[in-house]
Amino acid sequence: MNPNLQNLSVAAVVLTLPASYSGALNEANGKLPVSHSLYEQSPEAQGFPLKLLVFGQLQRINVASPKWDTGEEVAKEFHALVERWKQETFALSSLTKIYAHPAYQRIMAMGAAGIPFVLKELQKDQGHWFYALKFMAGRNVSAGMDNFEDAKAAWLEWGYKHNYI
Amino acid sequence: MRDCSWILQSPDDFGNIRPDNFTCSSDRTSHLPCWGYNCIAWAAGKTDKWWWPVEGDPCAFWPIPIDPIDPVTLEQFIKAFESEGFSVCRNSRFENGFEKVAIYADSNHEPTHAARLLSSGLWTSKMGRGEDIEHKTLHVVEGKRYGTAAAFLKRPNPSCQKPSQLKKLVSHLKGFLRT
Repeated sequence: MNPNLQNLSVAAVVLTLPASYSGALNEANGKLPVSHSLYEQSPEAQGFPLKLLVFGQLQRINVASPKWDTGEEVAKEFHALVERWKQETFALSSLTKIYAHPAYQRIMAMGAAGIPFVLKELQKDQGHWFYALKFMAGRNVSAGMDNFEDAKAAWLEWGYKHNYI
Repeated sequence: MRDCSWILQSPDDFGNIRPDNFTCSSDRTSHLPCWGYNCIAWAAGKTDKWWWPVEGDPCAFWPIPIDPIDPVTLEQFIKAFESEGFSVCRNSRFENGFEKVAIYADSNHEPTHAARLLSSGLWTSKMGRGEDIEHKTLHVVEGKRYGTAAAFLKRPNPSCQKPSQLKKLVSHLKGFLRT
């Protein structure tokens, strides 16, 4: 993500999701820290099911999320979400359901603020993080790759380059 | 690590499973890149990828072009198995010389799971990123998590081709000995 965009706030944000995601949204109702999720390109153009529509004026002011005031709080929430997601999706084969799980959706909704945590998780874990990263970064760094190690290396390199890790 | 006790400890998800109707038959794969393989891959006889139709995800493999409108349907899953030499059949009954798979679907008819019939007459299932299990019937893993077995496919069993080749060899040898 363009570093200049990281400290922008938005006046209003509307999330639209397919019907299958409604459960996840309901559970996360009112908690989505959408001010962190800004897309540089049209998510739809990249084939994302999640669409972020941003209305209002972008203002160049620093606004801390009211929910996550410190990195410590984000870290605590992130790790709790990862734990819950792993536990509750362990028996699943369906990536549709695994990615639609409320905890995974909430991690994706962290946007840029969550990227450092996901990249750290990717470094130590072998799991399915590329799908979330694609949403959170607003770009698919591992596009066209079908090998885990190549995709992991590409995302970590991108993370270093953009000071996420 | 091989410990299937977590399945027994999930009665809400797997209400039909009991210690006497399944056995744990592999280690879990949650530590592998992309969690190794899943039930769909396992049913097709593959263990190197996680099979699910997700576009642009390095952790997901799908053997046919992904339907851009509605990729997760029974129809699409049947097509994927057909690409592996399976064809739709009427039931899950054991047939000599054929390998069968069952595709499970939830109440929305969305595929959730697949199991493969072994020559022993038992079914084998990969349980998410956990272990492979062998279970007596398809009903054993039916329930809230996987729904019910909704479609059946079969293909000639590669292991059953060996006896016929052996028969050919014996027949050749008999012919040779006669001459």
